[in-house]
Amino acid sequence: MANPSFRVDVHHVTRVEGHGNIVVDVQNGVLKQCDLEIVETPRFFEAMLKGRPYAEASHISSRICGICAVGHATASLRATEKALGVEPSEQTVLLRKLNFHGEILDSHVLHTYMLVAPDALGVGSVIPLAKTAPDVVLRALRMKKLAGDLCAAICGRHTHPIALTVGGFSHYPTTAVLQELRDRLVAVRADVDATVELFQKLKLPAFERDTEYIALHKDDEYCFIDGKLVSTDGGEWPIEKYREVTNEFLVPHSTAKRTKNQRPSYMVGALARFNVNFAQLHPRAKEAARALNLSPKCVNPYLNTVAQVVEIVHSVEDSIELADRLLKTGVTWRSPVQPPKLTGEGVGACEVPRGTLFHNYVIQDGWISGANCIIPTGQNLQNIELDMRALVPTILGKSQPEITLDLEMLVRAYDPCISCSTHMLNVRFE
Amino acid sequence: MSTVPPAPTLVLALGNPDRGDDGVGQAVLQDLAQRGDLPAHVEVLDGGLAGFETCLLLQCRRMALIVDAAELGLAPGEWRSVEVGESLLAQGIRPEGLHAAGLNEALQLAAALDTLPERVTVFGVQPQSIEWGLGLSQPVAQAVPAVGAAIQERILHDKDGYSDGEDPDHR
Repeated sequence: MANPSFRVDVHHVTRVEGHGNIVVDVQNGVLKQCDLEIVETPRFFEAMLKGRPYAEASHISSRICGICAVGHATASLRATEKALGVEPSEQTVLLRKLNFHGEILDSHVLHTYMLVAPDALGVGSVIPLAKTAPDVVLRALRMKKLAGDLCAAICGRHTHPIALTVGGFSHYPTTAVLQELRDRLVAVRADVDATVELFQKLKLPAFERDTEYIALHKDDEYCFIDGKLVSTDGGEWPIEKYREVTNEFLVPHSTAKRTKNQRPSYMVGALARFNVNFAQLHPRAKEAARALNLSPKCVNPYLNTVAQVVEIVHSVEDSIELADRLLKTGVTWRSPVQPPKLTGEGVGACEVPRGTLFHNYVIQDGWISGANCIIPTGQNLQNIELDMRALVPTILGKSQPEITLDLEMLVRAYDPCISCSTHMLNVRFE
Repeated sequence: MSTVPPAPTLVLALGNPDRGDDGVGQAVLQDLAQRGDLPAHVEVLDGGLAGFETCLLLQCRRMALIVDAAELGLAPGEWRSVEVGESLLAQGIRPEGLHAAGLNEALQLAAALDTLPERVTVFGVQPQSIEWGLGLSQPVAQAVPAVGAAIQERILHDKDGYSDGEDPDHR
């Protein structure tokens, strides 16, 4: 087939969160259309926040996502704390970091094992995978359970945190609980090593397209909370200048906004963090990256999943170190720091599993008067679509089911959370 | 991980009490608690919105009694108990969850992993409403004691043993 003509129409990509369609139209070997349609209903969370007291913001906005609930709550708290001049204590910062690792682990294990591994192992979903490789699936469930228990111990429950508050916590883990978690994290190293071994064996497509990679960065740690925005194309921005980086725009076939910075698109997420922050990874995570043949700057988007495996190693190791620090100093009850003022504007930013998340609030007399949330998947959509446009011409010789699978795997590699990326659109009813 | 083996019989409630009648499982657990002490071989758990992790809760059990709201096409408050077998697993037990995997996916995964208990019974109660809000509708609230009694009956007359509360394998 020198000049093939075909149409790929995947109505709702499976094994992603939310509803998105892939539409590709090739006529006589020429790509006529290549769209990632986002058809999820907008959810208007920013509008829900307006008029609510500041203390409710993290609880409302954590409902944006059942997977990144801790991430949304943390970004929300940081936005509020910056608006109201609250400086959290070192204990609060350490506990939030530990909590964050629980969520990163939970989400990355779900994506790498349940959503991507079936493709790479040639089965349709996790159910047939359980029949052929039960040890792999049970390992994933064990790791997810630990991640969930870690979150529950720190923030009060597995998802939708209740103990995270402006200026601190409303609940603290006991020493015994923290010690047990620490011991389980050490014990899970065997499962983590087995995860690295598994992904050494898995074959992912060898497709490369250089793009701009953006992530939060700190010089002294692999950054998940706060920091500054850094691009692999050069450039640094304080997180308050996030609009200069995201430059949101609309396309007709998507209910989610798109973003671009110094190129027509950019990528956020595990691979972007890996490319920007490799130097700050834990030594064991760097070792895992070497074993997985992953080195910065990696421009194969399919390897976002492999970067997630590297982050699984990092999160387990950093969690052990954080638990050790907390056990050494002892976790003590402290009332949350009270805001010295009730009016102001602040931006909170975190690296949630799928990339950089921004919450920006304007607060007047304790009430939220304006809110803007920019979610990682929204920032990745334009990059996914440009990847698809670059990929299709290189795989025209494949059968249509193979082309469809390659495209679905590409979308899944970004671990998109489509429901979360739809926000603040003008919807006209006719 | 705990090294203590799990209790052979599990009573598991699933659902979100913030969504009206989806809290029927929790209400049945409260009803069971009021009926007095259960035998030592029985563990009662509120699984909330446990997704695939439900597999781990079922692992190494002999019997599981799961109570949940279920779209059965019946009048609100009517309920059925069904033994989980191959045909039911293929047919599906409840609609997909919002973010996480549902009970059906978890049971299918447990079956594939060969970790399903010998006997799994799902007590499904037809909800009137699972819209956001606390509290059960009247017909579902009225069904709770009957479901609780049926579960108690099943535990106390578990034909394969343990009916006196003694379990030689579980200490």
